[in-house]
Amino acid sequence: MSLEQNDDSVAEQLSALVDGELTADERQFLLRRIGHDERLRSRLGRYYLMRDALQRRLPPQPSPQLGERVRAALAEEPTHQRPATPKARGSRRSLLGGAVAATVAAVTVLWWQGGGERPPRPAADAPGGGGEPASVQEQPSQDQPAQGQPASSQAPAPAWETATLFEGEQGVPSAWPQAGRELPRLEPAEQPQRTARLPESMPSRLQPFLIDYPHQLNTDYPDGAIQRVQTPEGR
Amino acid sequence: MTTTPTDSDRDLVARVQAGEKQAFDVLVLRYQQRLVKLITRYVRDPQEALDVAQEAFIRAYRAIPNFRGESSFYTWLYRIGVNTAKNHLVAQGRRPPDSDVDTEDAERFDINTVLRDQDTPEAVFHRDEVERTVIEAIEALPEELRTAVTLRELEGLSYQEIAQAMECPVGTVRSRIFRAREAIDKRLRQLTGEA
Repeated sequence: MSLEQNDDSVAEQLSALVDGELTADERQFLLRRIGHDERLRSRLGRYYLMRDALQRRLPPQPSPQLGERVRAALAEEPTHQRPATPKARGSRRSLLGGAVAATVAAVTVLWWQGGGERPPRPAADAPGGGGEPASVQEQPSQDQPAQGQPASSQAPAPAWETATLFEGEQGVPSAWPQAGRELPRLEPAEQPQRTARLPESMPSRLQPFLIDYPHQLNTDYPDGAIQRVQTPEGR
Repeated sequence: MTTTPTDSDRDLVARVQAGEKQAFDVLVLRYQQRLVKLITRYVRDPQEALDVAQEAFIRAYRAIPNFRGESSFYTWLYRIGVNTAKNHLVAQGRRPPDSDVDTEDAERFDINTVLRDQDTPEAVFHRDEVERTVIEAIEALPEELRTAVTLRELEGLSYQEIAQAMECPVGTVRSRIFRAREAIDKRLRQLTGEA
């Protein structure tokens, strides 16, 4: 294909871009070229000028130069960072899932670092304990500092240390998909025998977490031969 | 798969939010004339209106991570343009108009009636000249090109719909519209002095 034919091919794609008639791949390719080719941008501006002229949308002095002025002014602006998503709805769901995953990771890390023991079972009338999703705006209880604040040696345990995952209690974001779901608690006599061989590097404070939620055990755990432990319910 | 203009804007916005600055170039080119026309309702001087429009686009770029798609992109841009124009007037010690022009009214304004008192004779001549050039170029086109571009630009039909109306393949419609634009562009380049 000669240079002129190639130019016409790209210009035809430019025309289709104006009409929203490009495939996603064509659009991707053309946008990349537009970013590097001032002649293409100028042509695109004139295509839109034609449309605005026919639809009576022109200002008194149409200026084809504004696009380049804005581009030059934005050259110093940082590029935005959010990953591209094709639809707004999908992006909200993926952001929600990401926020949930980030919250779990943060709570786990904070609990681990704080040396938290197995949290006590909350009272039956605690906020969110009855199946309602907890609100992130809920105030922490009076004898506990706000979530995220480090606890002093004499201060009561912070909320994040006593928060129980997956149970919709205070401090769990309302967006948590399992918030408020009541999980069965095993009585001590019902708890299965611990058969997992956990790696030495794993802090002991994590062991009860793994045993109580056997369906979370990863049989592919690299350091140990963790076996799936079945609860009486068979979960 | 082709997209509607709104889908196209959403795709471009998503790309800008993901770091593709060139997608914002397309949005600017798409809406620059409309935005300047809107701002001209607040700021009479054409050069000043261009400066305000530039500022509005910069603000839009900075705020675009917060754009959630609840309205169309142009509606959102329109609000930024109006606010930027008002702020500019206040900064200049001038009083903005008491009531805003809403989007629909702004789109329906007849250029021969609304802006006449604000226009200098030279500015009106320029806009009129562009419009006349485009219309004359379309009238000079062969019939199949004229029909295709008219159905697209004035009736807003998709390529598929035009193909059905003209009983030809979609690819032929795409080619005809492109060739029509090229013919119009040749005349516009003479008018604007671009090579």
